[in-house]
Amino acid sequence: MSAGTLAAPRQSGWAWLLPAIGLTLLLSALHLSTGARPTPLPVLFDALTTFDPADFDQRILLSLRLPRLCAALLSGAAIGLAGLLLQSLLRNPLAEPHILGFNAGASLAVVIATALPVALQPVGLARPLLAALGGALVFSAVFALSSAGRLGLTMAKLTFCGIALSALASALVSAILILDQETLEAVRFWLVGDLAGAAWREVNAALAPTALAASATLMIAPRLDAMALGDASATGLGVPVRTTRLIGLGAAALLSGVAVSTVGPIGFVGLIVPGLAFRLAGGRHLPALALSAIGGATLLVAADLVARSLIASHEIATGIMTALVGAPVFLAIVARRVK
Amino acid sequence: MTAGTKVVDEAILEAQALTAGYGANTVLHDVSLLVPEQRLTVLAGPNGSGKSTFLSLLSRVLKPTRGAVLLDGRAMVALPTRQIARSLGLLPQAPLVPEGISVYDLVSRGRYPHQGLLRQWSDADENAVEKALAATSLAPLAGRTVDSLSGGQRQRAFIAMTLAQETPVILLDEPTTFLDLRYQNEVMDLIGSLTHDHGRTVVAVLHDLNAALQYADRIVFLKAGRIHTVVEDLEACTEALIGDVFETAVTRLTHPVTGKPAFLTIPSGKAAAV
Repeated sequence: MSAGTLAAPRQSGWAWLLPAIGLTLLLSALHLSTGARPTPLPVLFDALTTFDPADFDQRILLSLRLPRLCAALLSGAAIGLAGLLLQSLLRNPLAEPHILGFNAGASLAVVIATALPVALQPVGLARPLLAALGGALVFSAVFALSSAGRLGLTMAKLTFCGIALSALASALVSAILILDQETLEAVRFWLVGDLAGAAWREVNAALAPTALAASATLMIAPRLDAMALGDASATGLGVPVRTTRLIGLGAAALLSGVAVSTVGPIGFVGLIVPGLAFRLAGGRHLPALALSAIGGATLLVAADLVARSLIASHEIATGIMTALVGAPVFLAIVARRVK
Repeated sequence: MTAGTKVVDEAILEAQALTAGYGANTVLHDVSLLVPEQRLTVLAGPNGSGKSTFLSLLSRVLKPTRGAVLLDGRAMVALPTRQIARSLGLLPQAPLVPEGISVYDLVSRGRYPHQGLLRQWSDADENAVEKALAATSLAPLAGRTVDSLSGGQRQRAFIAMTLAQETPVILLDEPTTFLDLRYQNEVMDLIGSLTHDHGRTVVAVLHDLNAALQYADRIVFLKAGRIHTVVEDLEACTEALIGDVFETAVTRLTHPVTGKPAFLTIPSGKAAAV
């Protein structure tokens, strides 16, 4: 057999990358031009090349729609990466930031911070980091609880503990909001996952932690390929398994914290996209991670587009749209994989 | 019997007074062994004798509570894990098969320790993978997915991955378990050729005593977490030795084709008659 035919299976993982990028660009353009005041695409080019502050259309684009699009792209990519990291590191197709408690923990942290006196509220970079910390704490509890007992960590135990502790954290969020009307008003839409309030401030704060977590993820991608063969095989191949798991889970916490603090706790994107991306990439992590990030961004932009245009002049929260699509996918995976 | 005291000149892997266990339960007590180069060393013994634990220690998957493992004379704990992986390959008992990956992709994952963040897929990697596929007769199946292979082919694919790692030492944990006779034979032939044709040092945990006897250069019998006997000359495998190690009555035969010893168990009702 010649080298050419052998090399073919190695490259096939990247075949879906260009179509995925094309779809993202198409949806992004559609996202920018859709709204209460439809904007033709040439206006976008003008706004980006020769910005005219007096032009009303251009101002809408740059100060309202573009930050919203960037928030969706960034958060969607972060959720896509976090979902694939969790599914690979925990070897659990149901692993996802929303189900494992990351989102509920991050929400609780953000809501507690919002309830604080204004002077103490976290600003800028502190907000996504605080959300990441909250998510990491709740997930640590989920992990510790589901590892206890004679059977150790199983797929079902991890999933159930995640759902249970997420419910607990959500109950605490509700308790705070019932007692504190002001905080409720501030986070009401954000809590179901909403992009309407996204501004440049949130996007800018999210950039550095996302870049850090994404670089860490790319760095461990080859190790994840080895770890897919089991911990013993990975050790035999020279992968520091525990360190890698720690780096990966830390990156997942950071990524979901960023997403929650930017667009709220959006569920199911991290469940639908990574599994598909992994299969399309032929089981290799580097292309799968790239596809998962692009796919997450695309799905969130699409969900936001539908949420904005389904009922004219009303907006449905984006998180509700992803849940409508995601819940059946979750049930399908449970039916197929959990015995 | 002497246990691990025989001096071997070219020991590439050495266990020094290893004690290990899981939690409070000590499974291996003070075990020392020199592994000679370019030989097939088989670890044998009854269930719970500590042979798989011993292999886990040799492959650094498990950390000993006392003692040390030396690779080429250097303590393994002091070496970077990736550097160890360039000298020592491991095929664990039940490796996972990622969904949908091809045979070629699986085998190419053996190249991990030779690659770096900046050093991408090279001709050396390509050659190693092709040689490993050829040695395991898997080249025609390179494009197939691993889940579509038979049990024997799948095990050969994992051995090919370990071969592609190009390590002088290969450790195998029960590579023939769950395989039926034909595939067992296929995999044992391949393991035999790793030492004799490819010059590798192989340490394998084998459940099947008779298979071990046909292929091994050296058998280390473990019992209750200690080395019972190290056999260099298979003629030393007597009925008394095997009966004592496995605590069951056996009768010794000579394999009519290979001329090597083989053992049959004796049903307990008939043991008195022998």
